[in-house]
Formats: sequence, C-alpha cells, structure tokens
Amino acid sequence: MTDAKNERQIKISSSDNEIILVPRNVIRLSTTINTLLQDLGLDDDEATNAEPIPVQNVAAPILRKVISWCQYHYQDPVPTDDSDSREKRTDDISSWDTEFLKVDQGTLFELILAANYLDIKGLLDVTCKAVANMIKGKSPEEIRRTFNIKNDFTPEEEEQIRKENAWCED
Amino acid sequence: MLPMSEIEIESRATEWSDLPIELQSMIVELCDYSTRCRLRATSFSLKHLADTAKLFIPSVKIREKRNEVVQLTFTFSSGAEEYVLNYYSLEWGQTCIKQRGKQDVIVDEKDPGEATLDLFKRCCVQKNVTIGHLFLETCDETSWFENDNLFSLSEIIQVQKILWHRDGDSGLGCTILQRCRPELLKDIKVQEYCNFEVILFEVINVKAFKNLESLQIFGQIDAVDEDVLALNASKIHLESHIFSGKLVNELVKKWARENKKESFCLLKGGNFDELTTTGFEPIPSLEGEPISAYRMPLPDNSVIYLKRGPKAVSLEIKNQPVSDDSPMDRQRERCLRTTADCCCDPNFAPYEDGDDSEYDNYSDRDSDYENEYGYGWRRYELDESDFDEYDFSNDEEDY
Repeated sequence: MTDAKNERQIKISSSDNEIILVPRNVIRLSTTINTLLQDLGLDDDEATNAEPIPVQNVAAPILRKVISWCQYHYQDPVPTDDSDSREKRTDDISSWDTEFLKVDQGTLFELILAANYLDIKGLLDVTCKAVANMIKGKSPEEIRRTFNIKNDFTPEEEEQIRKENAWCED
Repeated sequence: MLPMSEIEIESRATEWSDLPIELQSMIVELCDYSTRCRLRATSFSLKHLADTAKLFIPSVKIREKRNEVVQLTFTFSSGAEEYVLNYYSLEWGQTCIKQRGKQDVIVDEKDPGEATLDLFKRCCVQKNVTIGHLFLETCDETSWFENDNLFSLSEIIQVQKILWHRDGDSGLGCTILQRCRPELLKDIKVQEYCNFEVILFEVINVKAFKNLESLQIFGQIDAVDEDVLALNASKIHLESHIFSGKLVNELVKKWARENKKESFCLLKGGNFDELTTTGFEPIPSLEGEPISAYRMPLPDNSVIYLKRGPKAVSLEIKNQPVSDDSPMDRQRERCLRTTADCCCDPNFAPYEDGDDSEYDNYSDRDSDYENEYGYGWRRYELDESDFDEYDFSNDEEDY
C-alpha cells in the first residue's frame, strides 16, 4: 500500500451529515462516486470539491469503515466479473480482511448494504463471503437463530423438505 | 420527542431480512450444496432463494449398469463433496435407492431410470443450474431409458462438456444431447464400445452448437461432408465411411477463409482418394511409414498441416511462423520423423488442450463403496486394430 495522503481529496458526507475527506485514488474503488464525479465534471478539477458528495444511505461509522477498507485495497487489481461457469470460493478471504470483518452481525450487513450502494465490488464480495461462511455448517434451526428467521413451514412441509434433502444430508 | 416504539425501530440492528433479495441471493450463491439444502429447510423465502440462486455443479455422472443398477453421482466443491446414489430394480416396479451411510429408500411405481431422472431433473435441469461435466455411461441391456418422453420440451439442460461412454443403443445420451442448451455446450466426446453407428447429426441440430469447441466421436457416426463443414469446433474427431477427399479440401479452404487458429481435425474411415494436395508442400517423407505429410503456409504466418494415412486424414492449423524453431515445432518435426503413430494423434504434440487439467479433480474414481457392491468402473479395452496407425490414449483420463 502506498501513501495516498498527499493526493487530491474528495469531500463526501454521510447520511448523518458528517463530512469526510477521502483521497481521490482511494474513492475510485466506488463506481457510484467515481461515475458521479465524472458526470458532474469534478474529475478534472484539481481542487477539493466545495460541496460534499452526499452518501445518503450510509451512516458515518460505516462510511469510515468502508473508506478504511478502500485505503487498504485501492491498489489491488480490478476484480473480474464472476463467471457462472465455475464454483465460487469463500475460503480465500485475506487475513487483513478477516480481521477487518470481525464485527457484529448488524455492522456486517450494514457494510454489505454500503458496498452495494457505493458499488465497491471487492468489498461486496468479501462481506458476502463472510456471511456465507457464517451460514456454513449450521443446521436449519441454527441458521434461524443466527439470522432471526421465522420458521413458516407447516410440519408436513418440513417433512417433505426433509425427504427431498435426505440424500445430501450429513 | 419520538415515541419509545419508534426509537426502538430506529436503533434496531440491521438483519438478514433487511438485505434486498439480490444481495441475499448473492450470498446463497456462495454457499455449497449441503448448505443450500439446509437453507431450503429454514423458511419459505430461503427455500425459494436456495432453489433459484445460480449453482455450478462441477460434475454429474449417470451410469447405466448392465440390467442391475443406475448410478448417479454428484460432485461439488472440487471433489470435496460427493454423493453416490445407486438405484436398484426391485420386483413389483419398485426401485431401491442405496447410499453409503444412509438407510435404503424404496420408491414405488418407478423403475431405476425414472427414479434417477427424478433427482437429476430436480437438481440439474433448472434454469439456475449449470453442469460443468456430464458423464454418461449407457448400455443396451435395460429399457429404462428407452422412453421417448424422458424429458419434456421445456426441460433444458445447461451443460458445458459431455463425455458419453456408449455401449449399446440406449436412448439417454441422444435425448440429453437434444435437450442441451446449445450456447453453453463446448465439448462433446462419445466413446463407442459397440458396433452401432452413433446417430447424432440426425437427431440434434449440430449447426446450432455455435460454441462447440470440441466434437470427438470415437465410433462410426451418421455425419456427411456437409455436417463437418458446418462445425465451428476447433477440435474434431469423426469417423464415417462416406467422408470424401473433397471434404478435406473444403475444410482447408474454410479454415483459410475464416482465419482459423489452433485447430485440429481427424477424419477417419472415408474414401479419401479424391483428396488433392495442391497448394501444399510435402514434408520430407517418413521412411518406411505409411503416412504422407504436407504443409501449407498461410499469409498470416499460420501453417496448415495435412497428414494422410491409409485409414484417416488429419488437418491441423498452427498459428506459428514456418521458420519458428520453437520447442513445439521441433517436437512436431521429431514426431514426424520418428513414428507415424503420433502424426494423426490429436492428443500428441503439437496440439495442446489446456482445458483438460481442470478435470483432473473430477476424474473417474472407483470408490471403495463401488467395489463393495461389485460394480466398480469397468475398464473398457479399445480394439487396437481400429487405431492401428493412431494411438489414442485413454481419453477418460483427459476428463
């Protein structure tokens, strides 16, 4: 990671009106903000934008966390589109990201929503993988408890699903 | 001041149910198959997600075994997750499903073929499911797959590669080929172990398979010259007694016209008397070998190699300058000088198929369980006389 501190700064404001300065090269990871800057003609301007870019769906604590992820990853190669023609892995989360994602479940879901809104593919991938890893190995009842999901099957429906799944149950 | 209930709503932590369906689906797509099955049993909405989220199954095998059993094998997670189900025929039209570590399941009013296809369709014949490699092994001693209505017209199989070991005239292989989504299918390989002609071009519209990269049928096929010329595949092996020498010349023109790169075609069994080598320069003859070899440099520096033996003709196009003294070229020339066997062998250098390695993990394996039941993979022996001047190594290893 190289020092991005001396580069041009972009002002963004969170949903709770906190203004945060973020280096231009770092926020480039967000396709949403990148496109907005280009569309508004602010990309050529060497100076910091006077009016902050509003990020209305993301509160300051999550936005700061997103920016810290971008600061670590802004020099990573551009992630390629996932192909449907191969299995997807979830065991390839880097150690830095593993530490970064040691947060409560609510924050993890907030990060997913923020990554989706800001269109930061790498962050969305890794946060979704973290949730998938939380689901793995759990029984249906454990999944319900973990994610606060209501069992809306009748006993007959549950029995039918149990029969359908019997061949691949452990 | 906000009422207490609204304050609670405002401060509630974000939950799974707050994620839009697209994001929930994205997460489910990352789950392995057994996890998806557990998600199905969690709630209606998660069952729907697990049933519709995109799924790639690396390998599925359907083996029809000599009037005894149909074996269905699913391989997930690069081989780490494998399920082998054996469908036995019982009296009174019942089928017994045996699976290691599980209680036998009796299915009423279904033969092993129907019971196998039930699960295959539920797991694989879905819009959201793509199969990497479908392995079929069929024989003609059962009538389980003879029904013309094995699949309905709306049932489309999304599969990338098919390897079909065909011992007899079973209906399963052709029916599956008819139901494959043409845009996805890249590789068809049929290994023939009987003397029946493979009826393929009559039942499937091969022209629709625009993305087909490889078509290899190791047995007599119902193809005519026009069928071969309609193919876009860059790896072709076909055998038909009605192939003509004109086909080879037309194929050369087609490849040159289309600037074809890195392609190989072996045509066997035809009458190639009419083949002309105009435009080709002979490669120094191979003393004592029944092979003539020619090459034709093209303006774009690629070279078409034509090799002719008593029973077959091979064509190969390489995008390399003639003067390029690369290791591959030296290997090719060495090959030409030393043995005639490899001259028409697509598995031998210089043709390189990098894709095969991905199947190493899914290669056919005899589990102890299979041996326990005494119906482990039967190793077929090729009739060497069929390939007396070609040495096709066991193709199954490629997969």
